[in-house]
Amino acid sequence: MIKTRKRHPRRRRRMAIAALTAAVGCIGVLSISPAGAAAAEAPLCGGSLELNNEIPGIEPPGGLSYKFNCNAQVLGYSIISNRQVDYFSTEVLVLDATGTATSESFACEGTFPSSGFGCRGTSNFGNVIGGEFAILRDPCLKAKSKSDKFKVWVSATVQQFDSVTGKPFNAVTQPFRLKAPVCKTNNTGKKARR
Amino acid sequence: MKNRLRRVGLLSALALVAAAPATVPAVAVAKPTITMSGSTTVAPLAALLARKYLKVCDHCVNFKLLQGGSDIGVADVAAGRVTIGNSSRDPKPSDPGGLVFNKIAHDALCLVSNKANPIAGLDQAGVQAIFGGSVRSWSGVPGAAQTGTIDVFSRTPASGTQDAFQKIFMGSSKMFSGASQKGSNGLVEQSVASDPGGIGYVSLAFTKNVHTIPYKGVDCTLRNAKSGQYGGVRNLYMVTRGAPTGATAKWINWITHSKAASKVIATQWVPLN
Repeated sequence: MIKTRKRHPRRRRRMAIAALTAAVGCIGVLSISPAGAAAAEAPLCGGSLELNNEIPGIEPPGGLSYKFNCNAQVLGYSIISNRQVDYFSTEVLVLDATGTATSESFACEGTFPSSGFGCRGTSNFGNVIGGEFAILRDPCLKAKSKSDKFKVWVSATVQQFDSVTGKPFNAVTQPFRLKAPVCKTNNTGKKARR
Repeated sequence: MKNRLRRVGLLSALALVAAAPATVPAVAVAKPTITMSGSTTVAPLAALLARKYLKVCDHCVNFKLLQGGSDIGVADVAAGRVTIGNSSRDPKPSDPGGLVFNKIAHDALCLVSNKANPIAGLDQAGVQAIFGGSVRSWSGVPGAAQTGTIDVFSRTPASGTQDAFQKIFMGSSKMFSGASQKGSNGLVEQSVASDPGGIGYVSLAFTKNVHTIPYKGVDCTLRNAKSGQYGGVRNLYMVTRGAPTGATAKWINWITHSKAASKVIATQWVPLN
């Protein structure tokens, strides 16, 4: 006899929304890659956050600097946070690996307050993209629970090359988490647990 | 189960956002949304002012900030695509009718060179010679540390900064047709910062990584712009279709009349009062 479990209507609704959002997201991601493109090696990206109380016009706390790079040409990226973002720098500069300015930059747009923002521009292989944003809550406030911990992800649109034809195509990286900022005021040397 | 659902929801939301890098989910609440597009000079100021306003008015509105250049902002607001078109140029006779240019601040437009080539100063004739293309080598510029070709960086025609530069610095002289046109202040700043032979012009807020060239013997600083000594000052506007109403009127009124807004503006721009 097959046992059927009765699901709560709210839980069913949540599951349906999650499934629908996942489906739409997957369609969006897949549609960027050309049909039949041979799988290229997934690009690697990484970056970190730093507290920034010196953004002109932004009263602390809440100001943050972010930087990241990828082993591919970056054409755009989204910054997503589990805290409400209420400011972002509209022009983002790109530095090379030695910290020297390049002629590349990104222009950022979005809604605030919201969960994040998006930026378009160009950054060549390995160059470092660095900008600023601010959140409503002090990033160094202690987290109420484990799930309340402050987190920021980046998902980048990168150019890749088909491993068979060598033709370029755009792909979206897996969301990667930026390393949390170090909060020196309360927990010296410890990462922020907001 | 709850945790798994939360994880699925988060991952799927991330996937959705990743698929469209420039679009971000807004907070779904029944508040008026003020949408702005246009000037890349006004955009950083609008972002700072919006953050302060959200605190002051207890999150009474949502903001959506787009860029594109002043001409795009003016065209967008005229077509009803946005609530406000941000502009860093004065009204033009060719602008659509019925638009109201609400002045919100002043901005200093700075001439910039690479830090390795700290030009001591330029007068209007010097600016016109370099940006007009009649002087093409740094050896023809007094005080230049470089000797090679001058790489002129200008802005795209849709830019309000380009319009203001033409009016204030160039007058009736034409821009050098070989200038490399850039789409934003940040791009000009980066181009000049990475090119020892580069020269361009940007809003004062974009001068961190470059050398600012004194114009007519006056440094391009906030102090000199406020005092009126610096000659390269222009107006910044929030353009509306007709007189602003409702939440938009409150927002613009707050920018032009409140001390809190003036304080934000005074960090890198010149307040009206």
